[in-house]
Amino acid sequence: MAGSSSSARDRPPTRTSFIPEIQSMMFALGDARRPLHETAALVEDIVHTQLINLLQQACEGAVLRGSRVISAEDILFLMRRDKKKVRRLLRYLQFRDYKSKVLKTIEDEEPLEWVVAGSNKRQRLAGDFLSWVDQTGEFLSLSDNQEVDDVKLERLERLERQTRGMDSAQYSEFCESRQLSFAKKASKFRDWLDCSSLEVKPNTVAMEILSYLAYETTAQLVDLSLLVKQDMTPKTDPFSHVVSASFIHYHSNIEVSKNTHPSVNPESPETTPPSTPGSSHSSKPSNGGLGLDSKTRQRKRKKSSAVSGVEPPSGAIQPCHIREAIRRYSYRHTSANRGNGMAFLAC
Amino acid sequence: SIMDEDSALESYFDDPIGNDASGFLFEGDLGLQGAPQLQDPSFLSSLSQPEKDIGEDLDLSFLPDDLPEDTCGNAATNANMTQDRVFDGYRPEESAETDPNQSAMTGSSTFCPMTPMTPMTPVAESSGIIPMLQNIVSTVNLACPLDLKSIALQARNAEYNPKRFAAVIMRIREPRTTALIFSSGKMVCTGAKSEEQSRLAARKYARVVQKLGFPAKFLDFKIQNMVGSCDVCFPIRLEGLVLTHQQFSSYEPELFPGLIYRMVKPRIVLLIFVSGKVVLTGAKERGEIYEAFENIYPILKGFRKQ
Repeated sequence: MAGSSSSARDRPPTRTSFIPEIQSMMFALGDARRPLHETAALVEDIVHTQLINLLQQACEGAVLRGSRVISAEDILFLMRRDKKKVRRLLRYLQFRDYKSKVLKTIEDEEPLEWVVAGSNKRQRLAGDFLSWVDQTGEFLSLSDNQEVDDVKLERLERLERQTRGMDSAQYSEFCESRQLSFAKKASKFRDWLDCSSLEVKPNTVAMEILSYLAYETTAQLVDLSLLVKQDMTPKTDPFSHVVSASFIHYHSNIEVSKNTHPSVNPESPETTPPSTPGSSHSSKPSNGGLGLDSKTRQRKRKKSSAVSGVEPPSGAIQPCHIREAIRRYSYRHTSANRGNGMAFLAC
Repeated sequence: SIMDEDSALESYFDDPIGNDASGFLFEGDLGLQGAPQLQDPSFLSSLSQPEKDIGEDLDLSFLPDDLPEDTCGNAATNANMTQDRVFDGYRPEESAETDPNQSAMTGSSTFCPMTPMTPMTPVAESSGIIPMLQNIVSTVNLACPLDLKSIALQARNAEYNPKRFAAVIMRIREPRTTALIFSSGKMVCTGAKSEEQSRLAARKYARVVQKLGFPAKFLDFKIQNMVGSCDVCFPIRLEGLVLTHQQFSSYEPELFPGLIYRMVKPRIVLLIFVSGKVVLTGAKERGEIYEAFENIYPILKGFRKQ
């Protein structure tokens, strides 16, 4: 795994882990109902490594400009090359500010709060910095830019499709999963990130942006892995390779439906059973040593069903999908390759 | 005329406490009636001054509401604009005929809450659900500079931390509200559950300030924001809503569990939750809340989670 400075095995067992949260997040982002523990561990590793590398570079930038903290500017500076991602971040910050503003009009417990100036502080902060680096005027227009974020749209479409088939109970479980984020567990996130080795530390807004980037990285990994997974499944349908990303994972389910119980909605992520009855995804966290076995089992199953002509189940995202996704991404983004060899997914 | 009422009320507020020996005029009426009663000068001199907790038993219930600047044509509507929890879920069309509170319009002796009636033409197929008002924010100008320190020292339910915030925070229990009182004489009143309660509360605070020795008036009272809420009583699939109404919706459950919907007409912000609860904010008039809800209801039905 290019650029990975630590593996899950090297990490001391007492270190904070976001694996269960990441499993939840992956489900909420389009993975199967029970994402594999192994996969989540790998995702955690990648996200952690990327954030630490990002922080180190941001730290250098902060020191260079004589600041005592890592702030939003330093992170935005690193992201400047990818306008779409910057725009997504800006919209996120805008939404955060806006949500606070709206909530304040609702609550009347602390009427104090809403008259205090600075309600748009995150947005202003970002805006100020962007106007400073902006040489061609392209950044200034970003906050007004009404262009559709196609990646975001694909995600929305995927989620809409994913939720359509769910019943009330499944849907409410899904909604809870969607609410999990790194931002919700700020102190755990801070511990997990471990900024102790940095010369200067990130301030509050920088931490908010980092937790956003952690989530974005996870989302990107899921997006890309779903594409890889789709590529890897043998094609029976001539159009399946041109299927849009939002259809992935559920398109192949339609073929699977012939094998599943007729009353189950073919588009539900519930119906991603293996084609051989009685086996499971074995995604229980106590997987540990069994993880490898289930992966091999799934691979074998895929091969055999390919031979038999039956469309294999989509199943959960495997670590191999993640690795392939990273490989392809790094290949395409070598020019943006900084740090120790792994391209940043979120920048 | 309105001008006369304004100046009469102003001078009323200018009257020091000691002059109000006349006692009560009406028996508990909030004076929601139309113009005739308000022009009665004796109406204005009714104020009892219990020497108890400041702001607590201030009996301003006989104090008439002066008519809002926007014409007497609205007097009837304003009279109807009282909300009572009892009427939650009540259909406005049905209750109009059998409304026992119609008598309040003609000057009954008891303060009866009126069934809310939407000022708009009722839609043929309305939802049958009426959002309930949860919070009203209003402002008023007391029109005199105030010594906040002195107010904080004398008033019982007041707090003042100039280092934290440059206003006195005062609370009263009935109507249960909070006021922010600024040294300029401007005041914000929050927490009331109806326009009228907000106005009543604002008057009480104004009276408190007056009792503390300031020549407070009651100018430019204005409702700044109204918040309502209700429940459609079915689960809603927000992923569907956010996709089809992208230009109005934002849904980031990692940040906030509700979908934020910015309706253009009327200009209202709705928070829509998976559970079916809906919160509406940004209204200056209660009709906007009702209209916004009637607009969103059929859309929400389309995304009902089976």
